[in-house]
Amino acid sequence: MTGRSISYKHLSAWLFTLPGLFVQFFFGWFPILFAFFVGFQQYYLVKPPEFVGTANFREVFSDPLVLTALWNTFYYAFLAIGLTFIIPIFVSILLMEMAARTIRIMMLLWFIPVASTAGIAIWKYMYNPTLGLMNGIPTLFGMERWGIKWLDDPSLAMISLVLPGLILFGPGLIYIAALQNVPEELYEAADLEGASFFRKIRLVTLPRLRPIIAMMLLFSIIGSMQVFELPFIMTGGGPGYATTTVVMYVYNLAFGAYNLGKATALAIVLFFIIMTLIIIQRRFFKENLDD
Amino acid sequence: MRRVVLLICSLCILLSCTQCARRDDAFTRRSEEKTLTPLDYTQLRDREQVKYKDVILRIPASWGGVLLPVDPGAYPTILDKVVHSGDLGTIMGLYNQALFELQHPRVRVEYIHFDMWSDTFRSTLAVALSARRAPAYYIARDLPQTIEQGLYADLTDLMKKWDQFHLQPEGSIREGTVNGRIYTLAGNEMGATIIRYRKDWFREAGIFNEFGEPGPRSVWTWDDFRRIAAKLTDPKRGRYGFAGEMGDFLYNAPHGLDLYVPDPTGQRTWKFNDADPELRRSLQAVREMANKERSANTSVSMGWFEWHNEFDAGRAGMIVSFAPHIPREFLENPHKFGKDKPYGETVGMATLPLGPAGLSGLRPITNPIGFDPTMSPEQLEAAFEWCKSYFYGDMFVNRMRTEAQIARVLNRRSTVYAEVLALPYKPKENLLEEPLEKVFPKDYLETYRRIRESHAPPLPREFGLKEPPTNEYNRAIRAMYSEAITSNADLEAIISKTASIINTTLLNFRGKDDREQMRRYIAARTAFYQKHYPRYYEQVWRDKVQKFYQVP
Repeated sequence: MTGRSISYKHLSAWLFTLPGLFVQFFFGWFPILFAFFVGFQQYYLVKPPEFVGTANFREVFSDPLVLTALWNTFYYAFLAIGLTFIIPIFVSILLMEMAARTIRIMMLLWFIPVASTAGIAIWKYMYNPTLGLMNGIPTLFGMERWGIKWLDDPSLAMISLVLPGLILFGPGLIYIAALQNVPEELYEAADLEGASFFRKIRLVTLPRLRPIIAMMLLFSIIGSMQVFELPFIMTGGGPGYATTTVVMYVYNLAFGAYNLGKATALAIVLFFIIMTLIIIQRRFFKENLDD
Repeated sequence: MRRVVLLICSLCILLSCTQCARRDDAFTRRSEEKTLTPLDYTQLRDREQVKYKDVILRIPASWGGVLLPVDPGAYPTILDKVVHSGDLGTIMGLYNQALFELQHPRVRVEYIHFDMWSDTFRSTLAVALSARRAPAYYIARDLPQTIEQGLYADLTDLMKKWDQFHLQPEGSIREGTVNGRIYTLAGNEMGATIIRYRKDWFREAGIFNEFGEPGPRSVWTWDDFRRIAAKLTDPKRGRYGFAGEMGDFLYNAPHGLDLYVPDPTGQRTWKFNDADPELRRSLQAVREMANKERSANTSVSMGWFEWHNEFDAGRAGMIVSFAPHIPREFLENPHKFGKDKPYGETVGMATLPLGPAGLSGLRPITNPIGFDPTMSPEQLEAAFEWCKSYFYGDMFVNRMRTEAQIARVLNRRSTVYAEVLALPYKPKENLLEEPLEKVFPKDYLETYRRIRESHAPPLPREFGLKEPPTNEYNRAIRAMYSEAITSNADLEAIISKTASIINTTLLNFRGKDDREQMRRYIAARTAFYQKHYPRYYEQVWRDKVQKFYQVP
């Protein structure tokens, strides 16, 4: 290959990549870089910004609501990962034991409610203490005293937010797709060795799912630490501040209080928290089977 | 072949770069030519006319403008579709556009799509302003923070020259004034927060007003409101006396409870008013209404839409609503509650209940509008003229005539009556075929009379005092009330927690000339109460000033 053809190949590769790189830069990297600029400014929507040093970060660290929001976010992440990440793994494994036709129907049913925003709005009404289905069904059976306040009970509000995720979040589909790729020979070999059902799950299924689980765990951590639409639509962060999450507080600071600098500073803090969690997850939960 | 592809790609990138760099400089172009009269203008040739129009007005379709359909559908052209489908509103919008341009030859009106009622309005507006593609005017929300953000042009000079300035509702002028400068113009629909109630429920409960009609008396107190809410409540029939968001259930304003007061230490401008015993009474009252008396239906998931649904579905006897909506619904949807329940005999409106010393929370307001601050002075003046014409001038008259004609053809009541009832300005012509008294029920007219006669107290911003961010502040207050309602926590603990949050995060500022500005502000409020609420001044305010309004 001549030097001319190499440079031509490089040039054309760069030219074809350039539009994508532009998009990635302006919509992907630039906002992150720009956030670091805004975090140190008193930033106005129209007027020019003013440099304020670390004042926004100091405000973030002295704000009692930031601690509340962080606690709520971790609590949500704990519940969400526990309920909507782990349970579907086992549901998928059990589902794989059923007939192919049942699997297909179940997959279809699982997939239908994934239209999340509409789903969230419906759940808001299902939780309504006087009209909602969640209290309506027990009342039909004469259990008027059931009367749980769901979203209006500070101790239940967060778990009420997580419950729709069991249906609306669809990792089960991904697990099923992954399970279908596990070689049948492995199970046959396990059968020959006399392995029990649970032993097969422990020694064959779960290790084979490991890369997918690692990836889904990563998405789950990022997603649940950035949860916004569920509390925003269903509770507005209440009762009190019981469901105010960090991203919701960032939104409120930016577009409620117009304190864009502090909002960005808090977003940067969240960015580093998520980065730390991801590094820990990558360090202790290897994707590679051989690791 | 590769080289051709490469060349095409390079050209595409180059072209897109040049397109990005091109600036629409029509906004900044200034005409050097002499000012033409409308007649002179009509005598110009097409090309000269186009060239002469150098003041561009971008009018939002969601308030003042119209947009042509994008698709002609089964018709040969879009204009055919508009004409043959009887879309007179759009035709009148285009007629008004042509009329305004003829009256102001330098102006070219562009109707644009700009949704100012959605949740994403703020961020969309910020982007549009940065890109110099914002509409000429838009709704002014979250005052005064958006004024501090520089979102609106200063209208003070234009206001001074305007003959109907004094007709704007007092509350709207106060809302949009910061340190003596005016940034907003009152919209064309005056209203107030009022109580919407079920007349049929009141009739059943035997509660009648001074006109002998079912409903609360036009002068009623918060205690009356609470008592009536309890009386209308019937758990067996799934009825609540009142439905609303988790808040003070209308308690604070009539009781004169200010939730932030001057900080006596001088470290900050304000402090949370946790010392006022009225706050404890307020929290206790809403807790009892929601949980003990069960006369108030409230939830964290309940917003404006939800509590109006509760009302329409016959599950709430009273809700908080916005005054202009009721007369409009009365005309547009007279059988909303069924053929046997005419709207006017089913839905009533009353002003907010008063406090024990006669203080009212009633504030005459409109949707205020702000103008794009990046416009040139000519554009700003033209936009202001447009609003005047649209609100009460030629365009208003044309719109109303069209609406009346459409109503006549369609054999329904014209909404012109609702527009005129809520109009704060003096229209150019009288458009009513019959007097308002013949159209609306007495309680609607009485409520509007009271709204027009009500007064709004001075606001700190008018004196240059910084206020906490409205949205976040309201959110913190709602959180306090929702905690009081949904938990059994000690009220003192809730108040102290709220004070800590609000003082640390929302009131952690102090201005340079606070002391002097604060004195002027308190003096203005004192004068306001002396003039409009003498009983409250004597019985409450004087004592309150001594206790909570000490300037450091």
